[in-house]
Amino acid sequence: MKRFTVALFMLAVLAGSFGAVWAQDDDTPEPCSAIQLPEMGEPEDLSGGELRPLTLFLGYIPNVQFAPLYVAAAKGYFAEAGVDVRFEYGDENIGLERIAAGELQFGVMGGEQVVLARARELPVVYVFEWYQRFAVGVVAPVDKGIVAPEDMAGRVIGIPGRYGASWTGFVALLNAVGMTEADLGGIEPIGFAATEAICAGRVDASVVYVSNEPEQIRKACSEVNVIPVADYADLVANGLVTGETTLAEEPELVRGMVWAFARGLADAIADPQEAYELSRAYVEALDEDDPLQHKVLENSIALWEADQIGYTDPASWTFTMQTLVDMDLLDAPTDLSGACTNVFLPPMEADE
Amino acid sequence: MPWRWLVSPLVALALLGLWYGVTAADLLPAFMLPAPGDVFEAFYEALEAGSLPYHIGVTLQEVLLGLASGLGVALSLGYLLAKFPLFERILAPYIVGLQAVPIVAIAPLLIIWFGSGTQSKIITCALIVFFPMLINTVVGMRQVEPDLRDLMRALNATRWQTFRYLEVPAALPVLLGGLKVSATLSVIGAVVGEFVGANAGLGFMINSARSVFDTPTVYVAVFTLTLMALALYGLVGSLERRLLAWQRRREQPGSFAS
Repeated sequence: MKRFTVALFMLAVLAGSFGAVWAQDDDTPEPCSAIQLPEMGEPEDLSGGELRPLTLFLGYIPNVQFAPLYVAAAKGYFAEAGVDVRFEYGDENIGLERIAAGELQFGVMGGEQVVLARARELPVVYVFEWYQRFAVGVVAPVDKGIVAPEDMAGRVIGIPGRYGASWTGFVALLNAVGMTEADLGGIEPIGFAATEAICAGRVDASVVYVSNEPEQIRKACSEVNVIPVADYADLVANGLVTGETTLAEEPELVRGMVWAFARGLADAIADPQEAYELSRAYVEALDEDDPLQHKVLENSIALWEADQIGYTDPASWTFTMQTLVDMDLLDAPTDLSGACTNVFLPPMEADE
Repeated sequence: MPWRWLVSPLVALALLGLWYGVTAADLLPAFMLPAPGDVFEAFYEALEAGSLPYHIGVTLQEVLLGLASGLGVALSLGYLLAKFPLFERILAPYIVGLQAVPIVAIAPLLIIWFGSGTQSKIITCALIVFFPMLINTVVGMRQVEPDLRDLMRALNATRWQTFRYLEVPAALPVLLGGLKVSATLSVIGAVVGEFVGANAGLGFMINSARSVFDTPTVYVAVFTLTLMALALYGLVGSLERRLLAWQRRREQPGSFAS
């Protein structure tokens, strides 16, 4: 009888636990669901009036990969939103912290950085998904025979470092095929010097940004195979980020920035040659006809194309968060309902 | 004077109080300036988990080996440059040129050449400490009084005896001044190397914590690096007091000269 009572008790505890987990899952709000479209008038063309200076933070250096933003600036789309945009380049984390602190209003940041920042209570919101495919991948010289993630077994892989989007992407790739770090021949932190490390034969393959670094390696020393993380894992990539204060106090500005970005992006996808030409005014070292940079732009466009430009998929946020939890970069799942939104996107017909 | 010993701790306490006041009044968000309590908690957690002692061990090893290598080359080359002016005329442009190269620009190349392990950090560290120590060696060796050299010659001193009993003691105050600068710079050297590419060390700890917006842990690593530099500086200071006791100098008012 006593044994039966204990068994019943254990069963009740087990059922309770399952119930709690189930209830918790049910209670977890959907990512990108909390922000409602605020009351706003119809968008107006503000380019005739006095433009407001605004800094847009970009987490890299001046590069043709930012062509949609250069297009939007050159063609006056930001001006129509009443903004005289100035680009500032630098470390993505610093940019995100400055947005959270209210020093900056907008920046282009990685989705996984937004998740990590929100978990630390940085009030930042992702309002426009620019890269529809995560831009990280693994590149290897063709003679290494690494064409699928499983081929990395026993090989030495270079990484920029055990942090940031490239590390998150690499771990997600390993997870996707059931591999772990122990299956590799080693991991070599090489900073952002994949071209040198690959060409010098220091590593068998390297984690890179797929739009530009494979082209640089091709030009420097060898034909390569590329394994894009996006083929295996749907992580949230770079997009437009703003602060909660800006979102609450200036929703028209947020909409204006999002629409301008969307128009620049649509134009860049539709006419890469024009995008390249317009980018030259913003990228000092961009030659008139550099085949490598043209290829970088072409590769980038493949990562931007979308059925609905700017749309961010809530499921990809959940996946990104779970990846970060699995990597122990997050202690526990965090509420992402206010981390992202699609409410500021232009109507579908505006994309055409 | 006993009160002089109290000044530094009192300044530290005042700064801690100011820090606490700023965070308690919410003048800055926690991700910019975490409360002292949060930093202490992060310190305790890193200590308990063993990650902090591990990263300290890695960085300290790089610092000490880098310092030793940099000093070894700088002292030898500096002595040669001081003794042979022709040698200096030939090498000086290259040495100054080397110093002008930003170490952060070549650190990624050092990783490629020497790997992402300890070796590349030791070399980064050695490159950073090399120049100040070299200059101090040259200056120290050249400031030996010519009269004293004449005296050694008059006494039929060998080259080794002149080196051991005149040049080294005479140059020691300047050499130890250089060592103080090099010791603190060596910490920066190791961290620069770890920032570019590493799997361990306090620079790696800062990068990892920054990537997840864990500001308290960043502060823990930064304070630890500061303490490491202070400890090395203090060590050279006590070495200086022992080695220069013969000079019977009057105690100087500032700690930089002590």
